[in-house]
Amino acid sequence: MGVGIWEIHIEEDPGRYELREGKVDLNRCGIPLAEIVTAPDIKSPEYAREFLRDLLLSLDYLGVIRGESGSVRADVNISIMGGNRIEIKNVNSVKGVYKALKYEIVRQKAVLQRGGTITMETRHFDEGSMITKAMRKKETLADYRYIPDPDLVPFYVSPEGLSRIESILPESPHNKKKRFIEEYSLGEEIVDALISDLYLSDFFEECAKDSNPLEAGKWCATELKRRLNEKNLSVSTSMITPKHISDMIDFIEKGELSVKNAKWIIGDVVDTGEEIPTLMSKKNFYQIRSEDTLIKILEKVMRENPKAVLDYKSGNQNALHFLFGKVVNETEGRADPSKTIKLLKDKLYMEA
Amino acid sequence: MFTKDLIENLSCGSLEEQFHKKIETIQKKDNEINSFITLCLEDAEKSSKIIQKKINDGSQGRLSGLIISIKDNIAVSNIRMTCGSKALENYIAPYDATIINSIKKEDGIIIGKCNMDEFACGSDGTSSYFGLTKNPRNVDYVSGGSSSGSAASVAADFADLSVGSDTGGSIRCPASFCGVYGLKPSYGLVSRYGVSDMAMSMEGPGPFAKDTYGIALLLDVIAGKDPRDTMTVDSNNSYLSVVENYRYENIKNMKIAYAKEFFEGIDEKIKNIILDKIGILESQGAKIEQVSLPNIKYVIPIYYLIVFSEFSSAMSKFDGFKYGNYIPGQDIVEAVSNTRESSMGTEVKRRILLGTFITMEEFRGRWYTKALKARSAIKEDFERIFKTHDLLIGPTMPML
Repeated sequence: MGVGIWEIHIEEDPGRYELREGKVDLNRCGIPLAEIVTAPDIKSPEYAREFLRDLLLSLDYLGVIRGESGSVRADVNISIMGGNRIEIKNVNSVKGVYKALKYEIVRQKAVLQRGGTITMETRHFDEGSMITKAMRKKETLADYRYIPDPDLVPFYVSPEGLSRIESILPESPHNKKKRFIEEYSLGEEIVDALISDLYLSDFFEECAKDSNPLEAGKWCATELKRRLNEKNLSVSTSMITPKHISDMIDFIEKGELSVKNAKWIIGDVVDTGEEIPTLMSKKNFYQIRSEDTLIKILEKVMRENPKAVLDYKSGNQNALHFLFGKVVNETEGRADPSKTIKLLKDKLYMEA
Repeated sequence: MFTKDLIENLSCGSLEEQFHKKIETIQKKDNEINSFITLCLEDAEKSSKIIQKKINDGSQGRLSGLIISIKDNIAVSNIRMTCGSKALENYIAPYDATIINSIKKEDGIIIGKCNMDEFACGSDGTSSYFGLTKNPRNVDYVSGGSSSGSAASVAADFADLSVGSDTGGSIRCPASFCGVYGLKPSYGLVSRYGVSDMAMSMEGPGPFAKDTYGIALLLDVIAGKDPRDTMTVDSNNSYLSVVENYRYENIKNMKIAYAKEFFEGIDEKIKNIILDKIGILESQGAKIEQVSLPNIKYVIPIYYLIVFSEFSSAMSKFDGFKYGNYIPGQDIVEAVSNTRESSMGTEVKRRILLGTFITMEEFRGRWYTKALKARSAIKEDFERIFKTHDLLIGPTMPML
């Protein structure tokens, strides 16, 4: 995949004039704009969507997009074989671009199939109904009277200037992806989830300094990301720090914290920022690893569920999982799973 | 009186007296000549008092109280700036153009804003909404334009110096008609910030004076790099020292060219005067050579293509919403059209319409872009001659 870039125009928003009300809205006056004109290299709505996502992510990494909505807009041009070029103005989401293109292909094909013609026109995308509507017929060429501005001197970028700019550019999402896969041996899916958010990928790298990167990557890309999305937070607005994740992984690796409780911890820490050791004690999350204690619990569970014990003895393997579940409940998830299974099997075998 | 003597007189005599003499002359004669659109006598009197004090302590700037008139397309803070058009009849400039700043800093006294062809569209001084400017040498003749009032005010001794602007002769032509000195500086030598220009890629402000000393003095003050006009370049030369150090014998061994194309279709009387002057230079030891500028025949069509294109672009701001006297309409097109119809003269409208036509997308490659290429060819003709010659000499205007 590759999309050529023909031109980049640098402009300023001049403000908006609403003729009907006779009002001039100068709130956006002077805000810098860049218009990126691509070559006609995009072959499908999916292609367009992928390109725009990549482009937006790159711009996001560069820190050149303003946060407010509507700050990125696309004028989408589409032509199909046998028709003229149609421009859809001011589509303000990637999804909108995709939907508008899908709709236009169907519409233009239908017009041509029924013997109609596609004339050059500008259309408007209606976000609500996800269809495009004609805005103005016949693009009068007189609308575009461009001459090179004699007051603007040509600006040459010297090789030194170029390398200076390159040296201060942040790492691009594509390079970051390559590096994460090579440096941390992470899977592509995990890496995609991490790099889709610049703050999250930085956060991950901090975690990976003190923990196994595979574990850190997994936790950041899945549970942490899910919790943040759920609460509409980002790592920068949440209370969680890389140390939380590293400490947590540490406890898991020592066998003192269960995966289940670890998930709970993430959900809690993004809001509270509580230290992991404090939480471990407060919530009594330390796993039960002492065989004596576990045996006592097992005995209790077996006593309370004689039917399951009998079922197991008569060859029903599911009964083992049932009993294990009971132990987990009894211990609020703190029983060391592998130890519990092993002890449970021994115990049942002995009773047989 | 020559500019240098004038400065000497001012430094020992009374500025006030000089100033009032000028006002008297203006009041007596400008009703007929019509070289000013707006006079700013109060401000001028105030600054004359301040400058008098500076002269007394010997701390005055280079213009030391000379009286200067300004073409009315150059912004002087808090003074009306009309560009000779009804469209800006009541427009008060909110700031000083860069060159006005420089003039004020060097203690020039700005006496008023000069009449001009509307938005500099003309070469005879007759298209101003504020009436035509008459030639002080002979009031039955036009003053030339578009900087008509600038030339006339210097010729009539209403001002010691003046600033005009020149795109295709707008300083040189009225200077020639009114018998004063005028110079169009090379493009980019003088800042256009605060100048409502007609063609951005060619126009530039420049000085009028009664002698070369005055021209050089004023040029020294207004020339140079201005961060607010990206096209400007540094000026490290002192034009005044060039003028002052000029010696009669310097002409010896100078290589002077004149182009044969300059004399095609020219009035016989003018031709003879120019040839006569060339003869004088030759007798003084200059080496005279006839040369050819083969591409100069394209200069008029190219000039109009470029000027109209840039002019129509520059004029788009005078739509009644931002500038000008707004006349409403049913929609924006009608409102702009009503506004321009009622406030602009025929020549201005003609140029806007032609420029709009030329720059339409479908004609872009055909005219404007081609004109820019041809312009480079003409430029090369001149560069070639200046490689081997010191001066290129020719008549300013082909007719009287």
